[in-house]
This record gives sequence, structure tokens and C-alpha cells, in this order.
Amino acid sequence: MVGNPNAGKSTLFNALTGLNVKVGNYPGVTVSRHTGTTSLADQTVLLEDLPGSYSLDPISPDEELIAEILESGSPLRPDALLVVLDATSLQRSLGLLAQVQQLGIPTLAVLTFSDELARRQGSVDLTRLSQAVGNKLMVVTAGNRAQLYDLKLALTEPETWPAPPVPAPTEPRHVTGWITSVLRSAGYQAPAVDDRTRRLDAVLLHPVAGTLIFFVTMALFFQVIFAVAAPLQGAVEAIFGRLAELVRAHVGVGWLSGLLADGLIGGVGGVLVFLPQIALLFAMITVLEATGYMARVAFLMDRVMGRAGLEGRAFVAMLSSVACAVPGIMATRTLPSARDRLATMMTAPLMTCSARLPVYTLLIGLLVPPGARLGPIGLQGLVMFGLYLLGAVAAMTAAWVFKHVLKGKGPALPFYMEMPSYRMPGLRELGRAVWDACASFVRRVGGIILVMSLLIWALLSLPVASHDEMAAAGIDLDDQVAVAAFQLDQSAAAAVGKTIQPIFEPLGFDWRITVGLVGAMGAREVFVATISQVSSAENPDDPGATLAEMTWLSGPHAGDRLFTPGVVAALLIYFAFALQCTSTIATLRRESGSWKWPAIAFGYMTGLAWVSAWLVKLLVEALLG
Amino acid sequence: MADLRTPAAGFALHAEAVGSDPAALRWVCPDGLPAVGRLVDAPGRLGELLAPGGPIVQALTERAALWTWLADVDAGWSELGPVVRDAIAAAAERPDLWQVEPAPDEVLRLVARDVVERGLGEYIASHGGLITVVRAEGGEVDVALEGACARCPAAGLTLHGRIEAAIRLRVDDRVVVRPSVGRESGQHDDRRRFGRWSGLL
Repeated sequence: MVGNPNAGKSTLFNALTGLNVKVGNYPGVTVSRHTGTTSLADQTVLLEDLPGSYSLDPISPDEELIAEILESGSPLRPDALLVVLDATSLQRSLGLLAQVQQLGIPTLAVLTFSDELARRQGSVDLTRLSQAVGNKLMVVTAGNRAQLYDLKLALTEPETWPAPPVPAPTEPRHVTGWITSVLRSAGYQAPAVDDRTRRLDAVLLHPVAGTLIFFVTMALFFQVIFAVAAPLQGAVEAIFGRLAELVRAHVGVGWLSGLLADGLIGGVGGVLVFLPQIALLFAMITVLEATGYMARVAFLMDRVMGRAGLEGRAFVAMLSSVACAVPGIMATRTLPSARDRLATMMTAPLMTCSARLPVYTLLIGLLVPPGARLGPIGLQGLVMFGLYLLGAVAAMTAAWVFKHVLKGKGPALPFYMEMPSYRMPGLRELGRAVWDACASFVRRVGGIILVMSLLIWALLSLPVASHDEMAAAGIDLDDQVAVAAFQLDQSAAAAVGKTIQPIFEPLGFDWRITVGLVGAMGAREVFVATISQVSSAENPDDPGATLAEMTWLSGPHAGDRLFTPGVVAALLIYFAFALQCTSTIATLRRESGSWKWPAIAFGYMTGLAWVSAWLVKLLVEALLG
Repeated sequence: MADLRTPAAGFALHAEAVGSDPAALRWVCPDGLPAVGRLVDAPGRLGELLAPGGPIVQALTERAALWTWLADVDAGWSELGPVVRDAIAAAAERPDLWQVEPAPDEVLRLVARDVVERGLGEYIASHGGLITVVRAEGGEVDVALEGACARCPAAGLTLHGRIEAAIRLRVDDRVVVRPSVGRESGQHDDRRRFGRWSGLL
């Protein structure tokens, strides 16, 4: 399947194969190849969804991929091609079809969005269009099962598809003539700019008003995260708390009860409570994408970024990184210039990914009391918004620096981003996106986070301190809190943490935070798991309260409060900048083709994180006296 | 946003197969051609292709399309097609040098059949009807109405609103389309009915 970006290819692909490729109302959502099968009776057809492209002459890595697959002699060359034509921008779609006709592969054209064409007062004579292009043409409107069935039927017999008597010309001037002739023959009436879209765009694309609305929207969203998700989170927390109590009360074996209550429920449960936030974040991203607003945001940002000499496409990659840096880095394949691509790849991990959300929520809870307000605005949400903003600004600044440091000139190529009409997002689509995000979060929690949590539990619990040792250290064996604290401080994790801890000493991090940071290398959420394990081990009755009052266990600071505002602020900044994610490092390695770039990214981001965290700590301490 | 990859437009032109006749190809030129009739000579490469002994044995023009027939049917259009297309696009720059002889009946027959069989055929067949061209000369086209058309109250509308309009658009504004006096029973009813319909139209 080939087609222009945002022509509805992925939607059609999903409908045909029953698969679930991500669909978004902005160009460039599909950057990699997806395959799936569709079957009818005894015939099975293997379908491949290629990245959206305006042309078969490649200018960016994703378009190169298409050209490679389609070139004659390629082992991947398909038996037949399905070209998706967007009825609302038929002219550009036909440009691609003209090139496809040169390939000599049986071709079926599928016209999408004909319902939107009609709604926007456009029209086209389908019989005449099919005659004029010379290819079999079928109309498929999203959700129409009868049309889909006909298409499936046609897919099983590509040998019956007519070939155009003379393929469309190749010379650009003649191609334009061909397109004009075909469109006039088919009586094509281009769609009027949707009235609703035009009126909305007048405001939303306005340099000042539009930008303002964007920021207000985002700020509101983070208010919602705290206002709506926090009570839900409290409920989930209460359930896990009750569960841990039950385990402690009923599991007689000491170490097993500890493993279940602290390691499993305290650690994994501590991360799982952020499910409401994850669900909300993805619900919002889906709504913004599916309505077409995200394309406007990219357009607005392109103006800002253009001034810094950055590509609009880069912003699309950065937007994807809000979910996760891995697809963000993969989205850089749409960037034609190698230099821009590298600059974006190296900086996309600075965008606030969803793995940071639980960490931020936990830490902001420590830093800002829930009721704190700045006028009508909740302060917690405002800090969260600030952190997202910080990530975005840092990513773009770093991209700008990289672009200027990197040698070699990229070609100056036009970037066009279609402004899709505003569409109401389908509830199914929304539900599916939220469900997928939650499912993948739970899988992540059940996988790497579970493993790391149990590992950290073992390290925190072993070796078991004997009563003699405690007695020797002058611990009152009846004081449970003191016993737990002593056990922790003598654990293997403490030994590891204390070895590395000097590095983070200036930031005010003790060995427990350090262990959390080391664990976060596997997945950022492990930090939350570690801290909640530590606090539930120290005070099983009220782990939440413990966190705020946690003190240094030993060393020169022993007894001092650990999570001072300065330390929490430093931690937030550290998490905002540090490259702690092994999947991101692996993706960087794969996409850049060497270990050099991931090493540089790790180095500069860790350095940036440490220095900024230190400065912020000093600043916060100076401000608060 | 401007479409930055689109260069200046060339001559609007595309080829259409005509189904029944593999030797023929219809070149649609929506900007129009110099005259309707038989194309005997044209400037440049197109003229060479048309010359006696050349690969194109015959060429007829409608108002906005050129029909070409291959001398060698087996050769197919795949190789010659692009050559002819470029030749037409080049020749279109000198419309004054096109030599077109009047051939009204030939063109009328061609276009009438094309309209009835290819253009509207699918639409008519989808209603269970069948219309065939019986005679086309002297600016008059007689068509036979069979199948569901024979008793269809909308047949007159199709005849005039669609077939006649399409032929007039492509050949001459004075063309008249009539239902033919066929061999079927009920022909008189048909004629009377169409007489009434044509009066209304």
C-alpha cells in the first residue's frame, strides 16, 4: 500500500487486516513498514503498509525505503500495488499514481475521504476518473463494510486489474498536464476549505492567539492530571495499601511476607498507581492528534523553530517523543537532511516521555502541597506543565546547538505539512489508544519493572542483619522503625549505593536515591518502585508520610531530612535531562548506526542533568534561605 | 501552503483505452483541438507518425480529443504510446499547422458509439437497459432501446439529457439523437412517448 501522508492508508490497512497500526490525523504517523494479512474464502493476501510519501523520488530515509522496495529486481517487490488516493487532495495523490504507473506493477487505486469531499462541496465522477487514469478504482469510506468486502474481493485477483494503455508521463511538466487532463475529464470539483476548519484555523493558527491557546490548553491539561487523576490514584493506592496489610497479617513466613508486601505490592504497586495519569495523557494526545489539532501545533512550532533554523518535520518527531522517545527517534526517518536527522535524534530524548510522568507526580507531591494555588491555578499542575515545557525548550535548544556543531550541509528542502480538516475523534479510536497505552504500561510494569523491583527488594533485604549486630550498634530491638532502618543501611543495596553515592553527594542524594537512580536505568519508573519500597520497609503503616519525613540513615548528614525542597527540585531536573532509558540508547544505536552517538547523547545528557540539578538545588536553597 | 514541487503546467493530455478496439486510443485534450474531423497532417513528430506508411494509420479529432489507430495492432500501445503523447503535446503548440479535413459522419459514428457503449453503458446497464447505435450520419443519431429502456419512462431523459448532450459537447451542437424505429413490438408507443418527452425537454 502506498499513498500520500495522511491519505488514510493506515486506517484502511487496519480495516483490511484487523491489525492496529497507530492512526493519527497528521502526516508522518507511519514511518516504518507494517505487514498484515487479509483473507477471503481460501485466499490470503499479505499486505504491507508503506510510509506515506508524496513521490517515489526519495528525499528522506522513509521515502528511500519505498523506492528500494519498489525498484525492479528488488526481492521485496510486491505482486501488486494498492495506491490510496485522498479525494480531498486528488491532485497530489495523482502525482504519486503517475509515478506508480511507471513501475509496471498491477495497480488498484482506492479513493478515500470521498465522504469528506462531498461534505465540503467537492465532487468527482468516479467512472470517468477510472477511465481517465486507466486503473481499477474503488471507493472505500471509513467504516463501510460493503465497500471493504468488495475491495478484499478485488485484492484476491490482481490479474484482472486493467493496466493503463499508456502509463502517465514522467517529465514533471507533462505529469502536471496529465493530472489536469484527468481531473477535468472526471469533472473534479476540489473541496472548499471546510467552513468549520477555516474559522477555527483563523484563530488556532494565529501566531499570537494560536500560541496562547496552545499553552493554555497544555496548562489546563496538567491541571486535569492532578485534579482528576490524583483522587483516582489515591483510590488505587488505598487498595494496594489494604492488600499489603492483608499480606502482612496473614502470611506467616517473614521473608515471604516482606517479598510480597514490600517487593511486589510496595514496588510494583507503587508504579501501577500512576495508571490514571498514563490513561489521561494518552487520551489527550489521541484527541489532539485525531482532531487534527496536532498538525496545527506542528505548524505553529515550525514558525518558531524555523527561526532557529530547524525543520518542521523535527517537531513531529519531538511530538511523538511525548509518548516515548523510541517512536520519536524513529520518526526522524522523515527528515531528508542527515544533519537535521542526527540533531533531532540526539535531542528527542529530552522531551518529557510518559515514563517520567510517575516520577514527576511522586516528586511534585513531595515538593508542592496538593492544595497550593497560584490564583485559580493549582500549583502542582503548573510545576508539571513547567517540566514539560522545560523538556521541550531543552530539546529544541540542544537541537539548535547540535545543528550548528555538526559539520556538513543538509539540502534545504521544502517541508509541507497538510492541515487536515478538523475531525471528531472516534470513540473507538480513543478507547483503543487509551487501552493500548494502559496495556503497554501494565506490561512494562509486569516485565522490566517487576524484575527490577524484586531485584532491588532482594538487595535491600540481604544480608539479613542479626540481632547481635543490632545490639552491637545500640539499636533498641523493640523500635521497629529503627530496626528497619538499620537493616536497610546494612543491606547489599546500601553497599552499592554508598559506593556510587559520592558522585551525587553534591546534589544531596543519599544512597537510597542513588540506588533508585541506578534502578531507573532499566526503566525510569523503577525509581518510584525503589523509593516506595524503601519507605514501606521503613514504615509499613504509612509509607506516604514517611517519604516526606525520611532522614539520612548514616554518615555526616545522619538524621537530617532527606527530601528537602532543594533535593526534590534537583531530582526533578535530573530526571528531566538525564538519558536513563536503555531502550532509547538501543534505538539511537540502531538508527545512527554506531555506538558513537548514543555515547555522546548519554554523556551530554548526564552531564547536563548533573550540572543543572546542582545549580537548581543551590538556587532553591538560596531562595528558601 | 504552496505546492512547491509542482512545476509549470504542460499541455493537458491523457490517454484512454476504448475497450472494444485495441488498435484505437483516445487522447483527451481538455483544452480543445483546432478542428473536428480527420487529421491528415500536423507539425513536427506527429506529422511524421501520421504520414503514409507510418505507425499510425488513421487519426480523427473530436472537439477535445484525438483518436489514433495503430497500423500494427499486435505492436500494442506500450511503446508507441509515450511517443505519440509527446508528439501531440509538441504539436499542440502550433494549432495553426494542424490540417483537419471534415469527416462529419465518421466522427459522429465514432463518438456516438463511444458515448453509448463506453461512457453511459455502465450507467444504462446498471438500470437493466441496453442502448445501441443503429445509425449515425448527417447530424442524426438513431439508437435502439432494448431491455429495461424499452419501457422506461426515464429513457427519454437519458436519451436527450445525457446521450445527446454528451455527443453535442464532443462533436457539434446541432446533433439530434432519436430512438430508432426498431423491430420490436411496442415501437409506436415508444415513439409517441419520446415525442411527448422531447417536447417537454
